[in-house]
Amino acid sequence: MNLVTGNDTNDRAAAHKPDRTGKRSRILHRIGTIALVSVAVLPAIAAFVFFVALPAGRLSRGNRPLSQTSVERPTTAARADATTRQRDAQLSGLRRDDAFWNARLELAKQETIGLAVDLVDSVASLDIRGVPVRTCKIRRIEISNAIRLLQDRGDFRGRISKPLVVRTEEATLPKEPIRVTEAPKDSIEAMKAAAKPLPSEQVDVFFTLYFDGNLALAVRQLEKPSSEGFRRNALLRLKENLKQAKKAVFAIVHSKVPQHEMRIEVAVSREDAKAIYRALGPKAGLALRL
Amino acid sequence: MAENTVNLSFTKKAPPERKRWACRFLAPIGGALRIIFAPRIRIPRFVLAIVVSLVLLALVVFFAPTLREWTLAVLPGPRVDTAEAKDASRDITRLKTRVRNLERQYGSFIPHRPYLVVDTSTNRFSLMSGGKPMRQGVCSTGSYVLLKAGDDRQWVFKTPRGRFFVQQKEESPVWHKPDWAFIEEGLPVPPVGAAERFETGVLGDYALHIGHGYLIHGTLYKRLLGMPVTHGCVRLDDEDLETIYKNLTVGSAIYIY
Repeated sequence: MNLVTGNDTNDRAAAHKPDRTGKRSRILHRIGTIALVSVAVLPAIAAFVFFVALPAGRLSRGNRPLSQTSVERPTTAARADATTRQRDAQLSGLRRDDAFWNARLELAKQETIGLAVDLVDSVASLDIRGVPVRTCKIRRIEISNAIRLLQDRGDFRGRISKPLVVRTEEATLPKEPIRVTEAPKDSIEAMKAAAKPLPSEQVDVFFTLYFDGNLALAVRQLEKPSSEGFRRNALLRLKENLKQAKKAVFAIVHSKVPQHEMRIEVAVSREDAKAIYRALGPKAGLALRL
Repeated sequence: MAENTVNLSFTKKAPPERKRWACRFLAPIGGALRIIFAPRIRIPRFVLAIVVSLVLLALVVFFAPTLREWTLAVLPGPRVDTAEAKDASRDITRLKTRVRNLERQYGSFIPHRPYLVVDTSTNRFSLMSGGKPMRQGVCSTGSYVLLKAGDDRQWVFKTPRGRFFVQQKEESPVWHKPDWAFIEEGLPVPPVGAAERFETGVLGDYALHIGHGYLIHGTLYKRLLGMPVTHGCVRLDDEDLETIYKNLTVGSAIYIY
């Protein structure tokens, strides 16, 4: 099977012509090819700049690694530097703890059921008015690199020192498993309906909560999903990706730099994931310990 | 005529049955490939370039979050504020004290007297004291049934979530049946205050009122405990109910999630 384009015919025709013309046509052909490849790749490069490089650059602006200042120093200085680094780490950890407990206390003042996610101790907890009513172990954590970059910045710490509010959510299960029943016409029909076995709810639980400031918390069940659950999860992910792409395009159209979604993904047991999702109402709060 | 002859001779040398099936299966694939690579169809290079360009563009836009993550992974880490680091040890001590105080403050939200926690997703309860479970077991909570009556009225049987308080404690409670109880059974709704509306023994030996008409009570249908079958109340086994009744007082907190 050969792919023959117009240029191949041109090449064949050029072969019969004198050498100079053939050479020129070959050069022109190559220039044409390079131009076409450039035309094909340029939009992708532009997209990379606008959708990837600019948002990433914006996030990392102002960050300077400690190691840069300590390259090729004497051993004593390096040791001192290591101590400083350790102290800095402790300090930033305490600052983050401070932010977390402030947010949790703020959450305790709210009437709604809140969620406290402690990524240091790998624990998620449902809180009602300051009382942890369900605590579950987080088995797997994935944190966006953006959070790693921002977690020690004052503005980010300021944001997580107050409860983050759920704006929207996407899930593979309904918030309330409502079953619609028509009233029976008589007692015989009612007895028949009562004799029916109760439907059991076996659902796979995957959900994502979207908070202010482009922060998203994805909760995944630890158990392997059924084929239906797998399909729903795949659809959910596709939906999330499309939503992000749409947001980014929208930002570009409005001459803005697209914002990178800071995503935290945690895996808990199915029962815990279900309890968390069902318990959280609209505008629920989140306290986050990083 | 010549073509006919050729065709006829071809028909005579028909492939065996299995081969014909293979041909049938492969024919559409071959057809598709022919359309793509047919020597006579010339795809202009600029069309190819546009298609490739669009595909690349779509891929970059779709996978931008992943690409950004990869880019961020190689970018320099957090900046260290050296000016603040001078007083670091003092700051550490101060922050440690503050965090400890905040933790203590948070711990003070846990009620001093026993309280009840009800999990509506697994239909389990925990009677707690000082943050530790005293008794745990199964219960029944709202069924999430939306009952539609013929007259445009409807009810959703779900247990409310949040913090509640025991408002009243009652022994040998009498159930004052609401309209939906009759509609659900296909019976005519009696007038308000009618004798048929009052039923004894169905709520068990004790009931705790938590407000808005919701109760924590016993049940006759013990085999259904652990399932979401109620009209919004919390049903318990007799022994569990007795323990809860004895440990909770008016004003005790009930946490339902």
